[in-house]
Amino acid sequence: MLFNSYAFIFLFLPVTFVVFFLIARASHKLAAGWLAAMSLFFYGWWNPPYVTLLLASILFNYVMGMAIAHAEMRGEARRNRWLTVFAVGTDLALLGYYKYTNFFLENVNILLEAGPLSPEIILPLGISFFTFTQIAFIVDAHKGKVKEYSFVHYCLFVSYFPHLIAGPIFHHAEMMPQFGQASTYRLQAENVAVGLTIFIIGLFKKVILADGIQPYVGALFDLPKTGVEPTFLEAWAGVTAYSLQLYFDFSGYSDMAIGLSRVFGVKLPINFHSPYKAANIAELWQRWHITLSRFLREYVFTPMGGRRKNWAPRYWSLFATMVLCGIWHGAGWTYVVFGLLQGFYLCVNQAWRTLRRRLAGEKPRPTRWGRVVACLLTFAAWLVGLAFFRSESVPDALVLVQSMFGMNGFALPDYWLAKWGALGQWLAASGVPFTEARGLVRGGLVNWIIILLAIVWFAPNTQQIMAHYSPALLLPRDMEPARWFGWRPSPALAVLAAGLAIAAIVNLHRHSEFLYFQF
Amino acid sequence: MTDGTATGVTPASVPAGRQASPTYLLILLGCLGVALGGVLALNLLLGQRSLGSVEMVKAASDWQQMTRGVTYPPPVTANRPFKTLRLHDRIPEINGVVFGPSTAMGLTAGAFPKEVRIYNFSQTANPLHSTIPEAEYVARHFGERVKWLFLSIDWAVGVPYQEGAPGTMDLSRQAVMKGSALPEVSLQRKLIDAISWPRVRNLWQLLRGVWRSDDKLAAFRRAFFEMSSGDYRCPDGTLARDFDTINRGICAGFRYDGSATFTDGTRVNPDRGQRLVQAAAAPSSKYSRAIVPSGGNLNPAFFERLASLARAYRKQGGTLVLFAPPLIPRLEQALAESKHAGIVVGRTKAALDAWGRREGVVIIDAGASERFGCVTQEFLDEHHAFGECYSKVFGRFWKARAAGRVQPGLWPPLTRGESR
Repeated sequence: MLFNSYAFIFLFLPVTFVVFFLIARASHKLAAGWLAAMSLFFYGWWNPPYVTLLLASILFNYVMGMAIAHAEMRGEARRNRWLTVFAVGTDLALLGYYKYTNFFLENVNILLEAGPLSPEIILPLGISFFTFTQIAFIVDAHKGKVKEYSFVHYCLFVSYFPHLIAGPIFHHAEMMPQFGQASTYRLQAENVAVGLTIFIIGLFKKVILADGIQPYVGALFDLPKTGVEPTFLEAWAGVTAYSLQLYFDFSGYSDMAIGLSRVFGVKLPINFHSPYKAANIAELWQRWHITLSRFLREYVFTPMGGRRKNWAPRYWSLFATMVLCGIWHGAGWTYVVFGLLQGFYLCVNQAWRTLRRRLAGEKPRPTRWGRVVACLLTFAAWLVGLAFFRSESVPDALVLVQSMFGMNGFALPDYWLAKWGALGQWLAASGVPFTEARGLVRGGLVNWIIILLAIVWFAPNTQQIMAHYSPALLLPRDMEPARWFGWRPSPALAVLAAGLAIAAIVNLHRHSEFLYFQF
Repeated sequence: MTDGTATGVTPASVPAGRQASPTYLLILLGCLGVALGGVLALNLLLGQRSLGSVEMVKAASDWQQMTRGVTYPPPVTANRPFKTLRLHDRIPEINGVVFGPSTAMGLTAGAFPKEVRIYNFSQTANPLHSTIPEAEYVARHFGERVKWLFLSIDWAVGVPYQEGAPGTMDLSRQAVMKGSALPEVSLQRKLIDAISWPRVRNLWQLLRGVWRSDDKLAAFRRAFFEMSSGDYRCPDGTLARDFDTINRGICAGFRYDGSATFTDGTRVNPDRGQRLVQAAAAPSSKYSRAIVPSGGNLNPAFFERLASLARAYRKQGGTLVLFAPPLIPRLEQALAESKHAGIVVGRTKAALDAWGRREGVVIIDAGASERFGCVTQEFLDEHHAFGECYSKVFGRFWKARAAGRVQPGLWPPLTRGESR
């Protein structure tokens, strides 16, 4: 079931909400059970047989987690270690089977020049998310950070429908206490008001903004497949449009998840914090898919030696973590290259910071214009990465990247010459070539890019808008609340929110899946 | 991979006026309820009529027979009942019928010489599974009067490759009046449709029209409770009447000759045309997806039935002509030259040509519409041509036929490059 579907908004959500708070009057445990059951129903809507897989995974990890926690409490270090290795290994094997078998066999076939023998394994929705959530639980149990949890709460923790399909990837220490609090089960108007508003903002981002620019993206990314080399402008326009689609799609989904959860009185961690305002790639990854970055930092980067003072393990950990991050996104060479690029970027960034510290003192402060340039440079580097992320094959991506670097020539579409009037004439006279174009970079796309870039660079994000109402967990310490768009439960803003919701709802008929469902 | 965020619940600065939340919720949900509820109620009211009825089909057909005006009864996606009644009314004065899906709807009576008087029986989403039995019915029941059958072979959207075999068709008035041709729509579908953006936009336009009229109450009643609008004139002077609740006042629907006005769409401008061709020729386009998997293998079940029809009809003194509808200029060329679809296009054409030669049937090959002088503005989209383009194609065809230059098989004949 999609958050942006009629069935979810008008049936699933109201029924789940009303029954939850009715049951909660009688029993908190039953209410939690209801929410877990509805979460499984939500998951089963897509493919009922895979509910069994999800349940098996939950049961296995709960039993293992409790066994590890008991071993830890009794000081059985050896038993603890072996149980942890077995549990994490099983989780990774399951993820590997469903996510990477096809990719592995395809490549073996290519190497052996054999015929197609890949079994078509359907990737269970959200498997990367619920597996990572549970690996974190197992590792924390191993470290003695896990308490005794009830199975119902654990089941809800993993299957909780707002996060089940595409995150945020949360931590048991964040969620379990909330499931245990009595206040969670008390209907509070403020939670509902804040949650619904965040949900509406997310729905608007997805349905109007992401789906609005989406039709332009496919045609531009299809060019290399048809044997056509995109122009400089087409390549940048296509990748920029995709970067905006991806951001509004995924951050819209995350907002919806956070908002939905808040309606039930549970706060989720934020996943995005205006990533395109980042002035370097490390900052971008602190603002983009924050919960995945946190998982990788805590469970991959740090154990690999990323916190050591010695530069070699630090750089190696950084690089390897980002390659893993790329592979996590999908089974394909394009994702591997995406990960390699991010690892390279982060290593360069780390080296640059070290160099600057040596040259300019402990904490050099960038100037305002320096930050603007850094922000643009970071965004451009990110776009090069996304060219690989979105392309269907590495050769397609390379064609696109070549065009982005001007290797397929630089020319503007001829219809802009007439449109730009005197400016066009002056540019043409100055030697800027205006040539026949394929009509892919039209006014509609340019307008979308300008509007969406203005939003990502100059507008406050959801948590800044909702800052006075503690909208979520994991908010940055230095987050400034929105100055102009700060939300208050005022009648005018209620009408505005209703307007945004109506605009999104009447456009739901063209509903599309979220991009991150495939990961 | 460095820490920049804080974990844990951030303490919220609690502003004054938190008690405003219930009021906020009340206004938010109230606005949503009123707006969506209103839209839903009004659109369901309209939708009840936009689904159509046997009475509405009869009234629309009678009105067109009387006035020769432009109209159509709802739903816009199911034209057979209306067109069947129209065909029966028109039979005494015609001697040719055009069959096909919406791509053939642009074909007007003006594209034919005086001695060929056609009715365009084409309907939305009408594949060969139904056009062949339709043509068989007409040949069987009206063969002594109708001497020309024109049948569309829409290869660009994959029609001749589809699986299955043609069924049978009862095009009698009684069958239509029984209402068997009207589609069933689920409540869920109706509700979703009622709050979709096209319906909301249409409702908004309708309400604006009501608001602007002098007698608002009467206008509201006519818009929401009466079977049709009043009569009005199209820009070319033809009378029009709207039975559907969408596309009002724009002369949308079918002309007296059965062709569509397509006024509910806009013509493709040349700049957009380039982009359309590019996108349509891409491997992921709906055109590529429709034709490439077939490998260019036509479904023999269709062509065996067509061959039987051609032979039987010829014995009755009639002529069956097939035609591949015009595609937007340069699209066929782009597909034919593409790596992914080129072979399929070539095979399809060769197979059609061979079949036509063998069965003595002419197939007008209008896909490369630029060869006939069609231009981008004469298209609604990649594969829906307006009457101007069809007139150019059929104008040349009749001229060539009169000069004895039309032989069975593809016309114009395949060039050496095409017949690979």
